[in-house]
Order: sequence, then C-alpha cells, then structure tokens
Amino acid sequence: MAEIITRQRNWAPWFGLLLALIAILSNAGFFLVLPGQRAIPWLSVGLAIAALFCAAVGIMRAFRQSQVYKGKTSSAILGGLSLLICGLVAIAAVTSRALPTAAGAPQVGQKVPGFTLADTNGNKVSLDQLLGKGEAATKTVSLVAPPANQSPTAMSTAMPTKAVLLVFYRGYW
Amino acid sequence: MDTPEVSRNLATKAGYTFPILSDPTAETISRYNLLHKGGGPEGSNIARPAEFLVDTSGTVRWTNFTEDVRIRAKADEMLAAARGLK
Repeated sequence: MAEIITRQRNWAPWFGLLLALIAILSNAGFFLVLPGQRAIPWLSVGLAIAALFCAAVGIMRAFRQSQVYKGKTSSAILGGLSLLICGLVAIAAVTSRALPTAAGAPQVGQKVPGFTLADTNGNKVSLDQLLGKGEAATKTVSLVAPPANQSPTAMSTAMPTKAVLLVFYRGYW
Repeated sequence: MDTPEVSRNLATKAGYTFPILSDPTAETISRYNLLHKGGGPEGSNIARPAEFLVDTSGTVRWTNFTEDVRIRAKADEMLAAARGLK
C-alpha cells in the first residue's frame, strides 16, 4: 500500500507530447517571416527526435519500472500521439525537400535564355521588354512596388531599368 | 502552371503591380532547367522555386535556389541584392 502512494508521476510522455507539438507548430515560423527561418527545419526535426525520446522514456518507465512510476495507459496514449505528430513533421521535412536540382539553371555570370510569355491580361511580354530593350523600351518594369498613388508606368518613366528580378514560383494552390 | 486568369485574380486580390507571366507549356521553365516534374497539384509539372537578378545585359547577377520549399528568399534579401548592383 505504501508503494502505491509513493509511486512517482510519469512526466516524460507529457514532455514528449509538448515537444512534438512545438516541433509541428514551429512550421508556422515560415509564415511569420522570422529571421531564423533557415534553422526551422532542423529545429523542427530535432524537437521531434527529442519528443520521441521522451515518449520512449515515459513508456519504459511506466511498463518496466511500474513499481516506481505511474501512467501505463497515459504514457501509451501520449506516446502514440507524439509518434503521430512526429510522423507529420517527418513527412513535411521529406516532401518539402523533394526538389529537383538547380545545377543546370543559369548561374551568376551566365546569360539567361530569352522568353516571350503572356501576362495576366494575355499580352505577350518578352525578356528584352522587361530589360528595357527594343521597341518597348519605355515600358520598363520597376523592381520596387510603386507607391499606391502612382501607377507602375508613371514610376518607370522616372527610373530607368537597372535590373529585373525573375521569380519562378509554383503557382497559387 | 497557373493560367493568366488565375494570376490576374491573385494580383487583384493581393494588390501586386509587377507583371506575372504564365508559362502553360513549361517551355521557358524547361529552358531554365527548373522543371519539377509532377510537383504540382494532381501530378502536374511546375517550376522548382528559383529567383534570378538579371542586369540589363541579360547576365545573372544574383540567384537563390532553395532546397526546401518552406524557405524562400525574403523581400529584403532580394532588395539588398538589387541595391548592391553597380
């Protein structure tokens, strides 16, 4: 009877679940534009590993040292939850890095291939136009979004094109 | 690959004033060696994320190729690269 009273609370699986939750919620850091965003993927995976370690410690304590620690059922449930959340962290880590190499893409010092593509109004726009060359030299594109009271064309007549930023993005989905 | 209509809706909603070009056949994306086969919705082909700062001679002056789709070049990084051009 005295043994039951003195059995300790098993905090490890709770701590593990907390770490697993922080690991998955750290992905919100990408949307908050925090300065350390490059560290987030590693932080997230590191926290997930620590979470699984805590969950394992909690389960071992509950089942192997049941005379010392409580919480067989709770450690199993919390461990399962932690494993599930860490699985999601792992999937996010693997899928977001599943990108083809950019080794064949134009590198610094190389010329970029030209193109002519339709803009949002269906008008054909060429790279030369964007660079301020050729017949449409007056219709240049400024890098910086103009103030709200100025249209992009009004801005570009005052500022000659210095460079063009080409952003390849994956679409809105 | 988004159509001009999809991009127009986005530009209107978000207030973008820069040109958004559409590459429905992925011809330009392929020429830049940036095709991500099956990377888009329902296995469609899209571009891998990439940013190039190109000077008026058409020469690349700065690039950013992320290895993780969650990490993208931030506006201030791109502006700093543009300001650094002589």
